[in-house]
Amino acid sequence: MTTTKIRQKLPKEPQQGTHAMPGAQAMIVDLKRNSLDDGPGIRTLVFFKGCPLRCVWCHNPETKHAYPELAFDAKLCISCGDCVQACKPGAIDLDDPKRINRQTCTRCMECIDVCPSGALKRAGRLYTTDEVFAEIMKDEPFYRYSSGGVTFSGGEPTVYMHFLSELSARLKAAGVPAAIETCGLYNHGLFEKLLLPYLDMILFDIKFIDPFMHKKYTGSTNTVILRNFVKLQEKTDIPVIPRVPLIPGITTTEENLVSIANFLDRNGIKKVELLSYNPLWTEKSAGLGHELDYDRKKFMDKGEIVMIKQIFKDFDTGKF
Amino acid sequence: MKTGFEHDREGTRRPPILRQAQALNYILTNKKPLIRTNSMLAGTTTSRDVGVMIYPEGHGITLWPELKTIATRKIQPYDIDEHTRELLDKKVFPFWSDRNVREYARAANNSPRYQELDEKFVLYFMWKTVALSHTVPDFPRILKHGLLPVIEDAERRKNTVDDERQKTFYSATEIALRGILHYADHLREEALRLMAKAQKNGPAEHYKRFADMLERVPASGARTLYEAVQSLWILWIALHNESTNAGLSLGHLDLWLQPYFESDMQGLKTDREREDYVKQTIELIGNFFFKCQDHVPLVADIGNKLFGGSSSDQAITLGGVDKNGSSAVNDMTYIFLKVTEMLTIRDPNMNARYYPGINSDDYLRRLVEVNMVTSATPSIHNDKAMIQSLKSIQFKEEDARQWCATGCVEPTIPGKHFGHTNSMMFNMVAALEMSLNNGVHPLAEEQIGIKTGSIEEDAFPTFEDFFHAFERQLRFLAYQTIDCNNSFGFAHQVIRPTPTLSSMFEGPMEKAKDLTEGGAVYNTSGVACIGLTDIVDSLMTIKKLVYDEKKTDFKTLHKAVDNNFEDYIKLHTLIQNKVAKFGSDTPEVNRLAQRVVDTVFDIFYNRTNYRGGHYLVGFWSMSNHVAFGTLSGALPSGRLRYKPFTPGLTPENVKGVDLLSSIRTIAGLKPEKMPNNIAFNVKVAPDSRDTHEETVDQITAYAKSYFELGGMQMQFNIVTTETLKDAMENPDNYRNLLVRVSGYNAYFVELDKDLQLEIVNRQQMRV
Amino acid sequence: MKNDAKNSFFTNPLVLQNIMYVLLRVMSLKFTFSKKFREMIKNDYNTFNKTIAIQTRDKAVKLYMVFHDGKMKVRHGIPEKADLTIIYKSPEIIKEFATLSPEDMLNYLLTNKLTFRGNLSYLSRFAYLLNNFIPPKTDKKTETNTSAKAVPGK
Ligand code: SF4
Ligand code: SF4
Repeated sequence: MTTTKIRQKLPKEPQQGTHAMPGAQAMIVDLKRNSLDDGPGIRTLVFFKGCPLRCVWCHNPETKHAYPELAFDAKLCISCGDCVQACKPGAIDLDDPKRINRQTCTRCMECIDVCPSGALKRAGRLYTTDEVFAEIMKDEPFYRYSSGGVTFSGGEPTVYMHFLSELSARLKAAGVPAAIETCGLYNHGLFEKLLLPYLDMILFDIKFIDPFMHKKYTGSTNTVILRNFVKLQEKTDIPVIPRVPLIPGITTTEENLVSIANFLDRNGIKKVELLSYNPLWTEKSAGLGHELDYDRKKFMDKGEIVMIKQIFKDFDTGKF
Repeated sequence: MKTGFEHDREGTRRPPILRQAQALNYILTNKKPLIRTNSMLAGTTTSRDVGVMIYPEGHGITLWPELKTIATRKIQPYDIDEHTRELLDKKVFPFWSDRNVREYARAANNSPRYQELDEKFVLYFMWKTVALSHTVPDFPRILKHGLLPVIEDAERRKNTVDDERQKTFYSATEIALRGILHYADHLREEALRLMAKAQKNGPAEHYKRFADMLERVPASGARTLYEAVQSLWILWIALHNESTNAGLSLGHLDLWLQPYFESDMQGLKTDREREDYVKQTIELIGNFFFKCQDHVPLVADIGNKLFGGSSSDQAITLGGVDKNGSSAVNDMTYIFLKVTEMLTIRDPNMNARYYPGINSDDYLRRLVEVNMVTSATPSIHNDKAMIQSLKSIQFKEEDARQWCATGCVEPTIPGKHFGHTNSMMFNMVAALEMSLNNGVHPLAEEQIGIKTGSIEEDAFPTFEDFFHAFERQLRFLAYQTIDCNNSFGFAHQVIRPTPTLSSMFEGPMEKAKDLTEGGAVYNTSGVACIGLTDIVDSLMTIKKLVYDEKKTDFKTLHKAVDNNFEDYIKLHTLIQNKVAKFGSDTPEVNRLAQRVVDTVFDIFYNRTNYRGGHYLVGFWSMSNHVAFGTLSGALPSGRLRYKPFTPGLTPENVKGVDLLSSIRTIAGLKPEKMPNNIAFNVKVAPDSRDTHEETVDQITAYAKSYFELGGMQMQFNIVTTETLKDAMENPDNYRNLLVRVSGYNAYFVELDKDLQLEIVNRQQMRV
Repeated sequence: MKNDAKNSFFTNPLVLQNIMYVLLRVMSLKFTFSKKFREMIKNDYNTFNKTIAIQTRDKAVKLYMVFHDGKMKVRHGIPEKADLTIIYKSPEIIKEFATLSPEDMLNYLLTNKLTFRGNLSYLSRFAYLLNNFIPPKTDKKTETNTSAKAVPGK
């Protein structure tokens, strides 16, 4: 994690003889344009890298760690062997199904340069706010005409609280609405002070109500998360929409979903987003050399969907 | 140069325009007057329900080889009876064998090299061998005043000039237009005949109405909307007897018909009457649309190969601004849109102008909605960009504001501008192939271009050297097409003058000069440049991999291209993945694209056509990107041999190119350098979970943003489940098909089977 | 044809020249003896009086036909003045000559295997004449690279 001071919003004078003071930086995997599902209108998604949770089903495994990783996509590889030549520590073995020996690999990223197919990719690099701001602003008219904007996603964007604060303040000044997707595990005081004034929407993950289940599947309890959620209800008028990732056999047990529904009900919430399970993540995870604790290859079936709909029948579940 | 028909039967000398006028008069006078039972409009283009127009002086003879097989061929078969076949084979075609545009030009210029190159069919396609009428006449004037004032004007002018040539011109005008009046009169007699035969208070009324209308139009001005449309239809039939039904276009019809609509409305008293009137108007325009399909262009097999069965492309233009710059969107605009939505037919080809800031958001939204329903029409144009573009090449602002789409997308100033907007389809990629091979075209295996240096002999030390070679080949090829077009233009002056069309233009009457001679106010020629994406991607590969990063050398790349990348998989993969592509909105690529556009613009603009006008380039392709592609070798862009080029000005579906970046890329190209317009195709498969409203909103947002960024034209292809299924079976035809996949857009054909099925199912749930 | 010996036999220019000659002779006999065919080159409206030459690019094969007053004659060599010269890129195509449909002809034209000098109308006419001699084709493979389905892109 990078620590930085909040920068002045006013443009700075470049200092004589030196570079401009480096602004805040954040480790980002990717910017995805033209997204239509993570908030209203046409949006750009910024995927921050790094997350305090370790969900076993993590759909974006490349955003778990806050450092750059080497990703390998076997489907793209044409077995030319150039990477083997380029790798000084000898961490690559064409015959090994995993291809990279993660113990010997120093993540020097030399192999990426020579790989003609893009099978070897760098996941994550440091961006300045200027860079991200410029990228986002390219699509400004699209946000304006579709009531869209930016969605900070990840990973956990609040890992880069100061960076985000600066970026979203600039976006606000430029008239671009910003939403955040968060796991809820953050320091509320900082969040309220640094981020909340610049946000237009919060998409807040609710995975379990039972703290032990939460700990079991995400590596962390949910006490702070649920408390943060409740606090947000009090502190802000912007929409705070709970999102429930549907992970068959894990979060979709009747017991868990019913207790989520009750929790939301208690807090007077009528709208919830249900995120369907998408098995495409498992390959990505393998390509990063992560071990899999959960491995379901199928989409959800009709029966599962009917059951879930029934539980949330009193809620507005949007397009689910 | 003789045509063999400089004299009439009596041996009197007869100038071409007079001959043409007499022929037209004869045809129209003797044309069978037909009033179809169910039609609201009298008159037919041919004697059949749907007839093929054969113009032996144009490309009619291309049908000769197929006379026997035409009824059974796979694509677009035509019925033909034995009598017609005999007539064509023994009488018509032999007579015109030397007297058609192509052969006249060949003989007149002693079999020139540029025509030889034309007949290789892979370098360029010259539309003048078929037609030169990609234009729009001044219909408002004729509808308002009728043909009689034009005839009187011609008579008056004839009596005041001394020059024999000028006298002939005016006689020809008169003779040709009288033919139209004869035809209208015969239709009126037919209406009376049918009336006498019909029951008193049913169909008889119907026929009486025709008889009354034809008493008046097209000789005199129309008083009602109905008369105006009937008049327009007869003029349209007449024009198609003179000019090939390929690209001749109808113009800004909503604006032009609105006055009649308004005056009709004023005469109505109750809401009920007005409501009925609007319904009748929708029916009338619907009828007119159907009428426009009562003829199809003659397409020989070669045409089917080259154009994939294109229609007549009778373009209608809607909306935008009027000549004073105020919004031209009116009641008739919405009536035309309603009819478009109801009929979903490919011809007439609907084009809507949208002026950001002047036309309303509701109008744009409605255009998108009609696109949703019809899944592909109307195409939407940025009025501001187009007017700007035309102004920058010396069109008067007031004129530029009146532009109408012609044929596909190209602009014409109606009644002032004879701009044969599709004079040629120019294969830019051929020039690139020749620059790679020292002037030899690889598939033709022949030294076609000039010698610009051989890669094998290290002729290109820098990228600039290579670009220069490419530019020289481009210029060489362009000059061939220009010479060729001009020679065909001169042939048209002798073989196919246009007395009827000329009478409906400003200029010819004043100058006593036919349109083909340069009679109009504006006299440009339009070019469709094909393959910009393929060229930019190829040049980028060369620049990056050979010169900047030195990841390969030019010889190796050349060998790989020659071998269709077989045994060069690594290089091919490298090109696909590590070279920034056109459409990714990468500054360096954008600059290169603009440079190619500027280059080709300058080459053409600086040459003069046979009517003294400029050549204007545009970037759209009909379906020639397929034809030219299937006749071309592999390219440094990684495109494989025989594969189609990318259509129009649409980025290739490749890595790094997403919808928004391609919208930004295209919008970033300068309209001033693309005055003959562009075709930017955007395919969208709406997500089943979105409501109709939401989808319309999204697409409207794409369009609005694109136009705000300066984009000229955009056409949507909104995709259905059937298309998706077809795409699964024929992925090659759908490389650019975008679909929504959990939150982002993806190219459908790249998704794996399961996901594709998932989307197809999802899609079906919508209905 | 897989057999090499056979292949070389059929591509031998001399052999091809003779095959061509015989084929054209058969054609000319048709014009002489069949009223229906004769009418195609001489009728009330016009008479097809033209000279059409057929060659390979390397001029290894060279023949010509003279149509005159309802008759057709076949000659070896190159005529002094031809109204139309049909030029084949390589001799192999000539062996298919007798079964060439208008569609094949077109494909050859588009792929530059066949070029011509002179009047394209006459080539069309000649193709039509040939087409009248040929029984309708059954299931013969045509060039595939030119038949890609068009994607509309105005
Ligand atoms: S990142 Fe460096 S050490 Fe790791 S596999 Fe690639 S080249 Fe080898
Ligand atoms: S360089 Fe890339 S494509 Fe080649 S073997 Fe390594 S991973 Fe595969």
